[in-house]
Amino acid sequence: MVDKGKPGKGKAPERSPSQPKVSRRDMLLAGGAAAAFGALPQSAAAESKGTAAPGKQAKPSGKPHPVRRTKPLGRPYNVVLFISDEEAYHLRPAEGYTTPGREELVRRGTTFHNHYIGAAMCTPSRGVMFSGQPPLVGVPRRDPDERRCDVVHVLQLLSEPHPRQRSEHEGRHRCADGARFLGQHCGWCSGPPIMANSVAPMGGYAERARCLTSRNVTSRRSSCTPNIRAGGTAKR
Amino acid sequence: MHPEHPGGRNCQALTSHIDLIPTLVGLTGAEEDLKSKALEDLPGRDFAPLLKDPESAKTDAIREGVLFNYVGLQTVDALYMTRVCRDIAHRRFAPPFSEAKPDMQGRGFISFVFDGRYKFSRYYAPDNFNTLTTLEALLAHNEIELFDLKTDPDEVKNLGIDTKANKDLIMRMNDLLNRMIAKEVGVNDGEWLQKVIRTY
Repeated sequence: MVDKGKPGKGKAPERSPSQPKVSRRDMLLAGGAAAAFGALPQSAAAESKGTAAPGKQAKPSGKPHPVRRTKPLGRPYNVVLFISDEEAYHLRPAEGYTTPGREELVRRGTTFHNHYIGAAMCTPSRGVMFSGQPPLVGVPRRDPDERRCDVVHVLQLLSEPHPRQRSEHEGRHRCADGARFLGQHCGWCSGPPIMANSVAPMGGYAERARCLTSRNVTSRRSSCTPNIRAGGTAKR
Repeated sequence: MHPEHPGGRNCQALTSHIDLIPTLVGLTGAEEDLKSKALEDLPGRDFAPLLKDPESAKTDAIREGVLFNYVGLQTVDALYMTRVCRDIAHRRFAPPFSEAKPDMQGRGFISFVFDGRYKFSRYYAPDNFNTLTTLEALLAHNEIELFDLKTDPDEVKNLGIDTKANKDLIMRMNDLLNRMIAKEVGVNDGEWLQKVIRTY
């Protein structure tokens, strides 16, 4: 889906003339919670705050943004998902500020006004997004025999015929990779998943801290290791 | 945003984050059997088909209600959270639940359902997961809120206070909440939390 190599290096993927030209700068400008290209549901947070009063529909000005293709692509789509935090549908527009990125998303996309998060606060909310399950079912779904733990696994199932045969160990590492690729720590790789998914974020962070301080890391928590080495927490 | 669908459109159909993965899968254009295999056991719905004609989709086009659950200790036991946060801030060992013993009786967990107009919330204690079916039992074990978002979008008038006048509406929304929990959560006895407490 996305080049996993180091940013700024490697060959840029070739683009056919029929594909829309959207630069990285365009993507960053878009910001907000939304999906682009292959498409996707927008969070209600993506509503244009500059043009809409709280709780009312966005009324895009002018003509609808035209489609770029009239026929399906003929090959699997690429999907780019933007996520932003600390937003609310009913948030009133801040005086003196404009939100051109959101307005552009509204102009070029579809706004789902009755889209809801499945759980509140950052980690459980992401947990619902990336697991497709409510926060109350973390433990039963995370039994060792369970085959998936996040959106990356599900998408891998579309291209790999026998994911169940993969070992749990490998699965966890793949999960960790997936989380990094998504630009987020998924919250489950750092320790007992239920802590991160449901009781957390504090439970998750506490467990993470315990991982960092414990010299006797058990096998269950060994999935912390790749993440810590990869980046982040241990060096801070 | 989708290159095959025009922009600037609005959709009022109820959708949830729980539908995100099924929708992403639905957008890949993969074979049907492959898609259904990938989504096996997941409770969410694929709402990608709404992109064809989002403006005319009814509120219940994808689901009859959206379910929200929050089960975190931040909203239950302030003393426990203060202690744990202090430990984390100082990078100290955070004690396990069995040692710190957070209070599990505060009604800080929440489940709510929204049907496109009414939002019905039930606040309950971590040691008292329930899906009750009578008003008396509901009120005995939960704090409730009921808002009419059509007339009260800021959610300032709690219709759940007047349980006599709004009894039918409360029970209708409670039934919907129970139905959604059964559909998306399954058995809702809180056993997973007891397991966490016993284990950690």
